[in-house]
This record gives sequence, structure tokens and C-alpha cells, in this order.
Amino acid sequence: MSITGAMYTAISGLNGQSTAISYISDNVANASTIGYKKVESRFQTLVTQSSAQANTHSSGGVLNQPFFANNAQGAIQQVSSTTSVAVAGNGFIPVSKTTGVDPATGLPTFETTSYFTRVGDFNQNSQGYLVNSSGYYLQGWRVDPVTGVVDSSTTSEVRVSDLLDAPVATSTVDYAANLPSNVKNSAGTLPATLPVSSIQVFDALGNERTLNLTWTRIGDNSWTLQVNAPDSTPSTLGPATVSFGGLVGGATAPAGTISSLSSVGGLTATPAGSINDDASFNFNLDFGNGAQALKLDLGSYGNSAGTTQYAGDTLTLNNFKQNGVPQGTFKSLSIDEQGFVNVTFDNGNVKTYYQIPLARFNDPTELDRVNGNAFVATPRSGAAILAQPGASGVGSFVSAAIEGSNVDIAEEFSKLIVAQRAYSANARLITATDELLQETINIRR
Amino acid sequence: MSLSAALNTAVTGLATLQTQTGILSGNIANAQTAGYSRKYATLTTPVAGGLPQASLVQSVIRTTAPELMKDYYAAAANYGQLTVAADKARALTEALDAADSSDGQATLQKLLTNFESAVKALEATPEDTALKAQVVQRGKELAAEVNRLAGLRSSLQAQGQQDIQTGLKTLNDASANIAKLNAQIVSQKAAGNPVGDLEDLRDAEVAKISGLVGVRTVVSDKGAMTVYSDTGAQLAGTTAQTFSYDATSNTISNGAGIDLTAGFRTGSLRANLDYLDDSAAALANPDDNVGTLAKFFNQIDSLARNIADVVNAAYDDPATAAAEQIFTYNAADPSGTLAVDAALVATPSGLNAARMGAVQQAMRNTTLTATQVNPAGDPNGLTISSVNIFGLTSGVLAYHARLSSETEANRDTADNLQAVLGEKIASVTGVDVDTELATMQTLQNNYAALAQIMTVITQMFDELISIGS
Repeated sequence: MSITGAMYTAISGLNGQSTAISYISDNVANASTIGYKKVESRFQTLVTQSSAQANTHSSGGVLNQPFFANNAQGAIQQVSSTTSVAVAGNGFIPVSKTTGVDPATGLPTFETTSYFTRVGDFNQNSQGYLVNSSGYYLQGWRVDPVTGVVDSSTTSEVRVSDLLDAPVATSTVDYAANLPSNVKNSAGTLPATLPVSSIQVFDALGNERTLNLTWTRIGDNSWTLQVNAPDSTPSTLGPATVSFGGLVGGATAPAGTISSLSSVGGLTATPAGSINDDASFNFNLDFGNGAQALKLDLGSYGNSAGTTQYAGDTLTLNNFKQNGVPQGTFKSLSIDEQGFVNVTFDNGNVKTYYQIPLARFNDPTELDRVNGNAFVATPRSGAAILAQPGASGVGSFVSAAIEGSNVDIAEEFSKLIVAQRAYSANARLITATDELLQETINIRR
Repeated sequence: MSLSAALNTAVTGLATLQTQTGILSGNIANAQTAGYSRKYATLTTPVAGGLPQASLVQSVIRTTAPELMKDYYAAAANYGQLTVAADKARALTEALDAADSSDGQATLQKLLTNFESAVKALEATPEDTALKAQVVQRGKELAAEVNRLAGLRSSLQAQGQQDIQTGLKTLNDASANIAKLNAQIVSQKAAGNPVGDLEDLRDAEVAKISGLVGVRTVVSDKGAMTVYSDTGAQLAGTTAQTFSYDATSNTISNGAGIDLTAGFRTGSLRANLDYLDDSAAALANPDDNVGTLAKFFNQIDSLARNIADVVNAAYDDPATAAAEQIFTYNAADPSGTLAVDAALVATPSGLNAARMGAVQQAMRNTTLTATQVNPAGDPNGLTISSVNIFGLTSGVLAYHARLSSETEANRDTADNLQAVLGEKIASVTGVDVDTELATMQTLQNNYAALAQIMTVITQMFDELISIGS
């Protein structure tokens, strides 16, 4: 043990504390950076010679190793942008870095390296890509917009450029009304035809077409239904007979509920097997784009939820809806809690094009940092494991939010004070050691 | 949990409170706006890994009262129907002058009495040619009044048809507006924007229709509303519906040419259709408000025919073979239904003064049977019998006076019901300023508390920064 040794130990202390202060200043400087993860000081001893058995110890020093608090949650701040997401949990958002522009297509080309980030303030750029404030491109799993099936085998850069939603032809028309059991025609006799009920349905091209239903009472508990679509060939279907309160599969249906439907003139009735079976007519219309199959759902056999025939002189319409939509144009883009990238169209349809997975690492504190708050996987962090948000400990998305820095200024300040004092103490030790050396030099004059 | 996170939560909380205050001020600003429904915000607190978060405005919703609206639409249709019926009954009563109370007698009664007086005077002084001329003159005046009434047919009909055309124009316009609003609502709703104000506008359009015809509404999942009449005829939807009126057949058809007259079962359009209906079924209908116009003219016709029959039967001298007459009756000519015999008009002195006593006696004593009053071929709704022609005249006047006052009384009841329901809806969906002000107090307190928290956080920051120095 020498005085010089003490001097070097104090100098390693100075180095360690100044490094600590540099981490603190980095943290405080990034206190408002979105998705920033703080760096902490982990001091460890440097031992030269130390043995409890031999009763010896020589001063060594201190080593300040950075610890990356990549798994500490930052404060989540709400923002108005619907394409911004914050991650609540341990997952990272997969992103790509562009290398340039492909001259042939004008679209960006991307590095093969995968990047990961917690900076979720994505915005749609002019080419339809979602890019965050650091310039990283969002990656996601493709989702079939029609079936909703997620293809999780590969990720690609999220690009939404479809600005038109295809029309959906009407396939189901729900109808619920009470047919008046006492209605008579103006001469006081039967058959009595009720005023036409109409609804607009959509054909395969998104044109609105009128569908007319005409009910005629032909006897007690017995009606006919005629379906008419003026623009279709054939335009008139039926009339089919609809009976109420008869036998359904051997059991008597309650009075006033549908008990049988006949299949006539293009209208195909669902079979009346037993009570509560679906009571519908299936038929095909052709508006010039090929056959369009439609189902007119009147309710269920023997069930009063749907079309009924109770007392009255006039038809009481309770429900008349169809499921088709016209074509729609792009309205807005949003990312939801499950990471689904949804496009809303002005016809009311919502379509999902991507799902953003979350990446999990065995040790996220060992990720390498690159510019723009992004991380790359290292052998010590382990490879990224992509998972659906909400699954296997990756956390989930908070939509319309961003994750703030996980730096706590109060904590940094208290560390700063400690580091400052420790630095002063180390410096004082150097002074003291210097004085001791001086004394030593002055022993012999 | 750092201080800045706490600050951020407080700021977000303030923003939410500001949005709520904005909604509140909109409510109070529209407290007196008819058709405005109270808006309120639903709040949601995002889940962020257990970290405390401020609540956010999830959506802005309007208060609705769908069941009350259904009742209101029915009441509005009933009121619309009775208003038209009462207006029409009043118009006919005024045309008849039945309501004239200046001398207790309507014009028709006065003229009939004047004619009788002239006949009486001539009977007393048979040789006076001036009195003969006066009988002819009074007869002409009586005939002129009857013919004036019979001649109103085309103008009253045109008025009723015009009313239907105007009503359908309103209906078509509202239908077009509803289609436009539907498109906007679906689009805005899809984008997650509040659509309460647009829905208010759409309800206002439906309310415009509701007086014309009873309506029912069906709203789809995407927010589009389809409006049906209370008998199921489509009035509005995602495309504008157009309706047209055919005056000849008195029917309303939609754009596809489908006759939907039966679909208009209630409302002012139905009242006008009923008023104009001159079919046999309408004339046979015991409801006085159905086929009113046709019944009215049949009553005038019955009056003219019976006056001519009674007077002529008595005037005809049984001593001569020829059929002498004072009046001529012509059912086919509305402007000349009743006329004084042309020969008498040319030479009033030719009037046989000797028959005046019989004429006067007949006018008073000849009673009319139910069939004479209300012939099977031309039913007119009158149910009086065993009356003389004075009784018939006052019967016609009383019929319309009664119809007018009855429908007006019914209309007033319907008006009350509609007003009560309207107020009920307003009290459920409208803005209650007291409640709003109470909410405002709460918001203000919360705001002040949050602001105080922010002040404290700032002080804590100051403390922190001054530790080192």
C-alpha cells in the first residue's frame, strides 16, 4: 500500500463520479424526449490485492458501469393524434430505418437490420407510411382486410394507401313488423293488401336499389308476401304464403307467430323443423352484375321476436334493416389497443390492414442504443420475440398517447448531489494524499 | 412516478375539464333552442400499466327519449290531421255563412224567408204587379245564393289539392335533407366525431314530416335513419324519396310509381285526401270528415232540388194540364242548379198569384222524407227527416256548424296532447339550466383543485432545483 496507490484510487473515484454526472446530465437533458430510457450508474469495486486470511488489503479503485433502464416504464401522456401509440409494459415497437429511395418506384428502401423503439408518435407520410418523429418506419403484420386473418409470419413496413373501400352488396335484410290480424280492404272483404314497405339495398357496385315488400291478408292467420325489386331481373318474386299460429314440427306455434312459409316463385323458405328455427326467405336478385343472394329474415318460427300477426288495422313496423354499404372514401387512420391499424371510411366501414406486434427481449437492458431512441438486439439481450400486444408479458398499446421519458428529475437531482459530494470528497483525498507526499518528500532535506 | 408525469396527468385532466365546460356552455347557450338536446361527455380512463392517468372524453352523447318521440310523432300526426279537418270544416261553415250571428240568421235562411215573405205579400195583394216582380226577384236571389255555393266546388277542390301539393313538397324536401344528414352522420360517426348536433337536425326534419303523416323511425347500426309512415310506407332513408300527387285519382305515389295512398293513414295529408275523396265509399262513410267536400255539394244539391220540388208542386195549378213551375232544377250545372223559370224572369207579371197561398203553405207544411233529404244515389251525410225546406236549410247549416265545432274541439285536445308531449320531451332531452349550473360548480371545483395540484408540483420543482445551491 502506497500513497500513490491511494492517489490512483481517488482518481478512479473522480473518474467514476464525473461519469455519473455525465449520465445524470444526459438524463436531465432528455427529460422531455419521447421514449427516452435513462442511464443509471452502477459502481463496482476494482480490487488489486485483498485477502481476509492473509490480513492484507491494497486500495484498488472504483469502476462506473452504465446500467440501461430500458425496461422502466415512462409516463404515458395523452395526445390527440390517433396514430400515436404508447406501450404500457415491456414490449418494444418494431421499426425500420430507410437507406434511400428506390429510383424505379420512388419508394424508400430499408435496412435489413431490425430496430426497436418506444417512440410511438407515428404520422402518415405522403406515401402512406407511418413514420415516427425520429424518422423510423413502423413495421407490422399484414392483416387481410376482408377476413381479418393476421399473417404473423413476417413483418413489413406499414403502408396504408388504399383510399377507397369497396361496396358490400346487401346479403341480409332484417324485417320485424306486426301484421294487423283484423285488416280488411275498402269493401270490407279479403284479400286486403297493405301499403308497400320499402328499403334501399346495395348491389355489388354499391348502387342503391329499392326493395319493396307487399303483404296481403288472404284469410285468418294467412298472408302472402310479394318481394319486388324494380331494377332487378326478375323484378317480382313470390307471392309466398306466410301462416301464423299453426303447427311447427308437430307443436303448435303460439297464436300470432309464424308457423309456416311457402317456397314459391323464386322465394325459398327456411324449413320449419321446430319452434325457434330461423324463419327466412332466401332469394336471388340480379341488378345486372350477376346473381345477388339475399336473405329476408322475418324472425323465428313460433317466436314473437320478429314478424308477428296480432290485433290491429294497420301494419306496425318495428325493424327494417339491411347490411350492405356503398363504397367509401378514406376518412381516418388509427391504431387501437391491440395494435390494429384501422382505416375508417365515410360509409361507416372500418377495415384493418396491419397489426403492430410488440417485441420482447430476454434482457432488454442489454440492448444497444442508436440515434433517435431506437435499439438494436445484441447477443446478450437475446433476439426479439414478436408477440401480439397483450400476450406473454409484452404489455399492450395505449392509443392516442405517447410515452414520455422515464427520467425522474427529483431522482437525478438527488443523485447529482451525492455525486457532487462524492467528487469533492475524492478531490479532497487527492489533496490530502498530495500533502502526505509533500510531507514524505520533506522528511529528508 | 415522477413529478413531470404527475404534472402531465394534471394537464390532461384540465383539458378534459375544459372540454366538459365547452359542452356545458353549448348546452346553456342552447337552453332555449327548440329541438336542441342536451349533450354530455362520457369519460374513459386509459389503462397504462397501472400508472395513474387522467380521464379522457370518450364521446359526446346527446340525451334522447325514443319512446316519447314515438308518442309525440303520433300526436303530431293526429293534430295535423285535425287541424286540416277543422280548417276545412270552418271554411265550409263560413262559405255557408252558418256562423253569421249578426241577425241570428244565415244568408240562405234569410233569402228563403225573404222569398216566403214576398209570396205572402203577393197572396195578400194578388193584383199588384210590383209584388209579382218582387217574388221573381227574391226567387232569383235565393237561386243565386244556392248556385254560388254549388259553384265553389272547383275553387275548394283546387285549394285542397294545393294543400296536398304543398305538403308533399315539404315531405320531399325533408326526405332529401334526411338523406343528406344520414350520409354525414354515417361518415362522421365512423370517424369517431360527435354527431349529436346532426342528429338534432335530422330529428327536426322528421318533426317537419310528423304533422303531415304519422312516422316511425328505424336507425341502423351505422347511424342512418329510415323513416316510415305508421303503416310502413317508406318516407325517407339513405336516398331521397319523392312523392307526387295525382289530382284526378286523388292518390299519392312514390318515385317508382307505386300507389302509397293507403300508407298515409294519419296526418294532414290524410285529412286533405279524405276531404277531397269523392268515391262512393267515402260518401257512404259515416265519418263526416271523409268525403266532406262531396257531401257538402250533395247537400247543396239536395237543398236546390227540394226547394224546386216543393215550390213547384204547390205552384202547379191542378186545374190546368200544363206543369207550371217557378224554379227550374238542373243537377248537371253547378252554376245553374237552381234558377227561376225563364218565362217568369222575362215577364214577372205572368206569375199566377192565385197559387201563392198554396206555395206558402207547402213551404211550411210539406215535410221531406229521409230519402228526399239524403237520396241513395248521392249520399250527403244528413240524417234529418220530417222537416220542411226551412228545416232542411237549417239542418245543412247545423250539420256544418256542428262538424266545425266538433273537429275544433278535437283539434284543441290534440293540440294539448301534442304540447304536453313536446314539453315532456323537452324536459327529458332538453337543457335544465339548474342541473347544468350545478355541474358547472363541480367542474369549477375540480378545475381549481387540479390547478392547485399543478401549483404545488411547480413549487416542488422549485424546491428541488434549489436543493443544490
